[in-house]
Formats: sequence, structure tokens, C-alpha cells
Amino acid sequence: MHAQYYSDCLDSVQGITTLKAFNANARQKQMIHKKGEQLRQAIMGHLRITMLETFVLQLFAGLGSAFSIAVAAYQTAIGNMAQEDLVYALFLIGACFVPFYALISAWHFGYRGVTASYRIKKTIDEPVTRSLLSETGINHQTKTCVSGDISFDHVCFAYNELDGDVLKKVSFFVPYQTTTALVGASGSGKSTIASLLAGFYAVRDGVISIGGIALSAQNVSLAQEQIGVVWQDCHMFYGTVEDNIRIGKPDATKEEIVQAGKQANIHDFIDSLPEGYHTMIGERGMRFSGGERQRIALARVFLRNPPIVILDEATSSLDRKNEIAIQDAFARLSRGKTALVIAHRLGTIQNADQIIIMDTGRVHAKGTHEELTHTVSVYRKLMGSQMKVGQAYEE
Amino acid sequence: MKNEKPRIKYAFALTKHIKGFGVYLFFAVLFNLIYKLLPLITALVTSYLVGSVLMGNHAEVIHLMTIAGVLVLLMGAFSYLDLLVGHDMAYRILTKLRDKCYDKLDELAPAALMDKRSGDMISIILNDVETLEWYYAHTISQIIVAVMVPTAALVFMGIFSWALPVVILPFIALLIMIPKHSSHHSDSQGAQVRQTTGKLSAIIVDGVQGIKDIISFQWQQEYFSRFFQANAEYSGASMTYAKRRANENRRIILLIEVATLAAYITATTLVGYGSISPLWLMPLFVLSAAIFSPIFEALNMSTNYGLIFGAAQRVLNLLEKEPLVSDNGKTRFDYDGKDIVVQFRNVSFTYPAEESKDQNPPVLRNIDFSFRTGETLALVGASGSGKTTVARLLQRFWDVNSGSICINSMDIRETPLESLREIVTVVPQDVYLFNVNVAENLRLSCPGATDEEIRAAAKKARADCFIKQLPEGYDTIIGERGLRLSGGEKQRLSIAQAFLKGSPVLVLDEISASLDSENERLINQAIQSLKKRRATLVIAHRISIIRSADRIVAIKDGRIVGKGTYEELMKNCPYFRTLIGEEFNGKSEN
Repeated sequence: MHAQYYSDCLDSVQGITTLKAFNANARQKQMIHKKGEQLRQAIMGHLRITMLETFVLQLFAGLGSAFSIAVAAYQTAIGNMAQEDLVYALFLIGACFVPFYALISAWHFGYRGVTASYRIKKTIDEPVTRSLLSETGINHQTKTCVSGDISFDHVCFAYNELDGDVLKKVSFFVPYQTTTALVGASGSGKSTIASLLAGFYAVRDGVISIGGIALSAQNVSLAQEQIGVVWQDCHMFYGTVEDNIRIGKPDATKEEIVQAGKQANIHDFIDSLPEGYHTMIGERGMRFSGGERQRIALARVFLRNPPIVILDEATSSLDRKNEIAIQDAFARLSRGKTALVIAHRLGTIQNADQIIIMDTGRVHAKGTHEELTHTVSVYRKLMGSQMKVGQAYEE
Repeated sequence: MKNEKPRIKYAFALTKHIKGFGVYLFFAVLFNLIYKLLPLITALVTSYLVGSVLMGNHAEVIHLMTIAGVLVLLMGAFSYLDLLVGHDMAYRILTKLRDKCYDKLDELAPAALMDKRSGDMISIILNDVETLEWYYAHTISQIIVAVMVPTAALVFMGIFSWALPVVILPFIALLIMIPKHSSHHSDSQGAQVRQTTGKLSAIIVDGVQGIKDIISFQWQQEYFSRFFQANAEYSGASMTYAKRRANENRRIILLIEVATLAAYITATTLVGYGSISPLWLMPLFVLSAAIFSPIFEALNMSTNYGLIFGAAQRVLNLLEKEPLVSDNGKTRFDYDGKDIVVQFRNVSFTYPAEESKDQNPPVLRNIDFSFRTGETLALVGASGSGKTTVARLLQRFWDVNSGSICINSMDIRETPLESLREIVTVVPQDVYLFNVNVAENLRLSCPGATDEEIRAAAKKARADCFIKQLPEGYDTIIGERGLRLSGGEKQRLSIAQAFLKGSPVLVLDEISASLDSENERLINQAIQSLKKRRATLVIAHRISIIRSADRIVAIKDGRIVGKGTYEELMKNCPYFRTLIGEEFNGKSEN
């Protein structure tokens, strides 16, 4: 119940701008108030039971001492007990029940602890089924030099059985030091491919290999070391800009960080901030635009300098300057590396060595820009609408 | 520490929130008083019984035993009533406080919360308020009882001899000095515990939300070391607090034992000299021990005052925070379907600086433009030029520093916020979807909407097709932060929300910038139909959107550098040409 209330509050506070934009905040308030009332009732319901237990304990402790004293008094009265013994009895009986009163107050807290322990145990015992992460880091000794080609061999994957397969027998090969663009409508499975490569989930069927080594629970952390990812919705952690870039390489020097900032085309922007690299980033990178966040994430990857890089191009919210800055930085980053781009921009797509068109979880077609333009109608259609936007100002 | 006030002020401020629960408080105190008095009376009766047996008087035994039995039963009943009424009142107050805290957050957001972390804020609502249970359920009645019960007992003792109260009173004075003496430590340590709890909670939220980046950068070690550090700080603060508490307790218990012993000796001496009948020796013994029980309980709770007032400080600071925008408008804006004109009149704005920071540079300077029903105005400019600020000001997330924003010649500050937000809809840049199903998310903008209306809006927003493909259609629950939907899908849902709300003024913030072409086409279609019969302001980057606008305002560094149609600006505004040139070159290079 607490957890439910907590997540409802968190959801509302984080979405508060949206709520205000749609004038829904007053209703959300009522919803939160209702949840608060439910929480109160749940707590009281629970308390009534613990209080009843307290009541029973209290009653019997009281009755016990009164009865014992009565017996002692009676025994003294009929001459079975010495008078001074009655005095001892009076004090001892009182002392005898003191621990029970202590128990009564401890009961209240103890019960809370028991309830909490169920939930803690449930969380700890949660089975880590589809994720590869359960084994993260157990097997660093298998470290071998991995050349950075990527292969997907008949990969099938479902987030859960209910939804069905999101990837259906996907096979492709990305040769070492080339760039491959993944294109396709939203929901076609592009982002899932990136998540699988990053080791977030294990495949249902088929094999993903990196540098010829099949990705498994034993080597997932090794694979993760070879890959740098710039997610579409990069998270900025609470801390300074410098801290956020340093995530790419915890022991990086200031010079390396500035260098990475320059390579990621974000240095000038950071320099223009009031406190430069020491500027604090608000929660969820609130004060940075999507493009700026992605460039900071790019700087992280520059610092790490892994042989394989993945870019999840933003689908929205980029002005032209940011877009060019990101494309330019990524082109620099992917030089001499194996690169996979979830592409939305024509420029990125055209410059790729290989293009893979995804359609509802399947590989629809593969090839270079020229090949696909000539042979694949879906591709022409996809490109066509991009072109039209381009033509608009050539008129 | 900042904002530190004496406890009495917090106690006073907390007590104000009892308003409306006076009856509860009365019964809570009454029951607690009876509950605390009953053991005393029972002890008196039983010890008197023992005394009379010792004196050889056996006649009253049965009679006194019956009284003691009844008293014990009453004690049990009142122990239950005391707990029940006290806690019932406390949790009613806590629920009201939580509501107030949430309402305050709602009022303050987003302007005054920019530098706050939501995990920390929620921790106030949940944990700090919960800590106040101690105050409302225990502290108040305990203090009252701790004064009344010993007073009654002392008066009773005084009837036998003035010597007994005289011996006991100095000890009580000393006992009260103990928490007073350590209150400074207790307060700062309590505040420390609360602060470290908030920080820990914020780090956990940060980690959960950034988990993708943590894993793919293999930043686990660093993150966990931060987490462990925050955890260690928290347990360190709790440990320091607990040690001080134990120390206080030790002194309290010691003092009580010494005081009881002193009272025993006095009573025995008095009986020895014959000033008191031996019959009353036992009852006085029992009474001199029992007198300290309510005092001990109150003092024992007082070792928690640091935590209670630490929590109170955080809760009250939140509740006392002034919003940057005050909702004082009286005139409701009644939309009657007539045309609407939105005007920015000579608006200047600077974001307020955080405490102890330098003044921020101005974001908007003398901005002057208007747009009306049936018209689309595009705002263009490089990022950071102040475009998004325009949308925020129109929603009154902040108020203008000078100039005014008017809708049909009425300053938006003169209308209630709720009424303003009814006529202005912003499709935000960063679409946030709630952890409920698709239909509920859409219904957010129009609570009474029927399923048909929701479907119709989704169709108009070109979202119906992908929603239908979701495993449970409109009933599919969207994962936290809309995890499984693509950016384009989220934006289409947001547009559907705007359709449902149907406000006459529409602001589209950087929407449809660079989607995959299919999404971009669908969204453009949706926007075109959404714009009909509305006054639309578009914060635009895409050339196609800019061209389709009726008029354009170009902003550079917070100033308007050009106004007019696309052709006019191309002719007269060099900055606009550069902007468009960047767009154009960017595309044609590819």
C-alpha cells in the first residue's frame, strides 16, 4: 500500500508539467487524495489488529498481577504465608509483569518489521529470467581480445509471452569497422536490437555474437565493455556536467573530459554555462535539451572509446544545429569502429555502409543505399517522404 | 543549520494542523488520561489490600479484590480505546498533511522545484509525514498526561505528608532538564537523519531511472559506491542519533531509580516516626514508583524529538514555500466559441536565480506579438533563444517581469490558473505518460470522455492504428515513463490528448522535429487537422512546419529580430535566412 502510494506520487510529481498542460492537475490531486485515504484505511485496518493484540496482552498482564496478589493476600490471611513474604510478593509480582509491558510496546514495531521483511524477501527472491544481468561480472577471466563484428543469427525475442515475439528470426552481420543503419517504422524492432546487444535481455532463440563469440550470461559484461551506447533518452545523473561525462571513464583526467567534450561538439555549450564543467545538472537533466543530453552521452562514449558504438537517433526535439552537431560527432566517433545506428535521418542512412530495413520484427531487406533505392519499394517510399521535406525548400 | 527554529515554534505550527480534529484530540487525551490513571488506582487498591491483610484486617479482602478486578478490566478496555482514538486522529491528520504537501508540490511545480529532486520531495510526503505520527498519536497526550497524573499523585501524597512531594519534585525538575539539555544535539542529529534519508531516496530514484545508462556504461561500480556512501551516511546518522538516545535514556532511568529509592526511604522514615499509618506504607511505595511511569514515557518519546522536529522542519518548510506564481485571478475566462486573440505585450523575463547564485541573464526582452483563432504563428530561433520560455509563460509556470500576456485583452494574471489552462493547451516537448492504461492516459485531458470519443481522438491523432496493435489495445498499461512506446507514438498520444481537450488556444512545442518519415507524415497530418479553428502557436524547427505557418516571429537571444510571412522574412531578415540556410544546407548536404 505504501509502495503503491509512493509510485503514484512519484509518477504525478514527475509528470506534473504534462498534468498542468492538460489542466488535469486538479483531478490528479483528487486521485492522490483518494489514494492517501486508501492508505490511511489500510494502515488503520492493520493497526486495529495489532491494537487488539496489545489489548489482550495488557488485559492478561493486569488480571495476572491482580489475581496473584489476591492469592498471596488470601494465603497470608489464612496463615499459610508469612506476612513479610506478602510484601516481597507484592513487589515481585509487579516486577514479573514489567517485561510483558515492554513486550507490548515492542509488538507494535516488531509487526511492522515482519511485514517489511516479506516485501524485502520478495524483491530479493525475484527471479531474473530474461535478463543476462544476473551473472554480470562473474567471469572476467574469459576476457579475450574481441574484434568488433556483430552477428545476429535467427534471433527471436519477446518481452513477455503475452505480447508475442518482437523479433522474428532476425539475421544480419555487421562487419568490423563498418557502419550499419537500422531503419523502419516505430515498433519494427530497431530499439529492441540495441537493447539485446547491450545485454539487457537474453534472446528467446538464436544467437547474437560479438567478434565471433556468442553472447551469454558468462561474458555479457565483457561484451558490454566493448560497446558504447548513446540512448535516445539518455539519463543525466544528479551531479555536475563533469561527473556526468566521467561516467564513461571513472578515472578520466580533466583534460580527457574536456577533450571528449570537444569531440562530442558539446564543449562550447558547456563552456558557455555559468560554471562550465562544474554546472549542476538538475534531476533528469531538466535544464538540458534532448540534443544536449545526447551530446553529453556521446562525450561519455568518446571517453570510453570502445570498439563498437550504437547510436539511437532521437526521433524528435532536435533543431538543425543539434542534429548536425550530433551527426558530426558520431561520424568522428564511429571512424575505425563498428557502428550500429537506429536511424531516422536521411543523412545518416545514406552514409551507412549497410542499411537494414526492419518491418514488424523481421528483416525486410538489406543492402546499400543504391541497391535498396533500385530494388526495394518500401525503401523508396520511406526515403520519398524524407525527400519531400528536403525538396520543400529547394523550390 | 539554516531555517532552524526553536522546537516550540514547530510544535505550535504542527498543532495548528489539528484544527478540525478538536473532538478527536479531546477524547484522545481523556482516554489516555484514564488509561494512565487506572493502573495507579489499581496499584493503590491492591497495595491497600495487602496493607490491610498485614494489619490483620481480613474483612475487606473480597470487596477490594472485586474492585481491583473491575479496574483491571477497565484498564484493558481503555488501553484499546486510547490506542485507537490516538492513532485514528493521528492518521487522519497525517492523511490531511500528505494531501496538503502534494497540493503544495502541485502549486509550486515546475518553477520552484527546478532544483529539487522528485525522490526527495516524495520522501517528505511519505516518510517525514509518517514520522509525525509520533507527534500526533503520542506526544501531545503524553505530555498532558505526564503533567496531570504525577500532579494528582503528588497531591495525594501531600495529604499524608508534605515531605514526600518535596523529596520527589526536584527529581522531576532534573528529569525534564535532560532532554532540554541535549535538545540542540538531538535536533541537528534528527535533521541529519531526515536529510540523509531524502538523499538516499533521491539516489535510488536516479539509479532506477538511469539504469540503461548505468549498465551500458558499466557504471555499476561507481553508482553503487555513491549508493553505498549515501547508505553509510544514513546509517551513520541513525547510529549517532541512536547512541545519543541511548545515552539520554540511561540518564533518565538512573535518575528515576534514584528518585524512587529516595521516596521509599522518605515514606519508610515517615511511617517509622509514626507520622503515617503503616496501613498506607504499601500504597505509598507503589505510588512513588508509579508516579514516574507517565513521565518516563513522555521523556522516552522526547528522545525522538530530534527526529520528529527534523521531519517537521522539512514538512513545514515545504508547506510554507511561496509559489512563484500566485493564483489570485478572479475573472473566469468563459469561452463562448468566439474568436480569440492572444497577445504578448512588451514581455520581458528573466529566470529567477537560485539562492546564493548570481543573477541569471534575461531570456526574453520586449517581446511583442499576437495570434488569433484560425491562424498559425511559428516561433523560430536557435535553441536557447527563448522559444520554450514563451510557451511556459503562456501557461503561467512563471510570471512575466514586465509587460503582459493577454487573451482577448484580459491579462492572464486576472484569471484563475485552472480557467487559463482550460483554454490553453500545450503539447509538450517532453511527453510524459502515466503508469496507467492508454485510455486513462488519454482521458487525462478530458475526464468525462466516452470510449467512443477517445477512439475518435486517437484516430484523428493517427494513433488509433498503433494502439490497436498493442497487446490489450486501449487497455494496455503503459510502462513507467512510457518505456515501450517510441517517441513518435508518444507524441501522437499527446496530440490525441489535445484533441480531446479541445482548447481554443494551442501551443505545439518543438513537436515533429525529426521523426522517422512515416511518423513525421502522420504527425503533420494530425497537426493540420488539430489546428483548424484554433489559435495556434508553433515552436518550430522543421522547415515544412515553418512554411505552413501563416506568420512567423524570429527570435534571437530573447529579442524579436523579424516578423512577417515566410517570403517577407526571407527578404528582410538576415537572421531568418541564416536559420533557414542551416536547415536547408543540412538537408541538401546529405
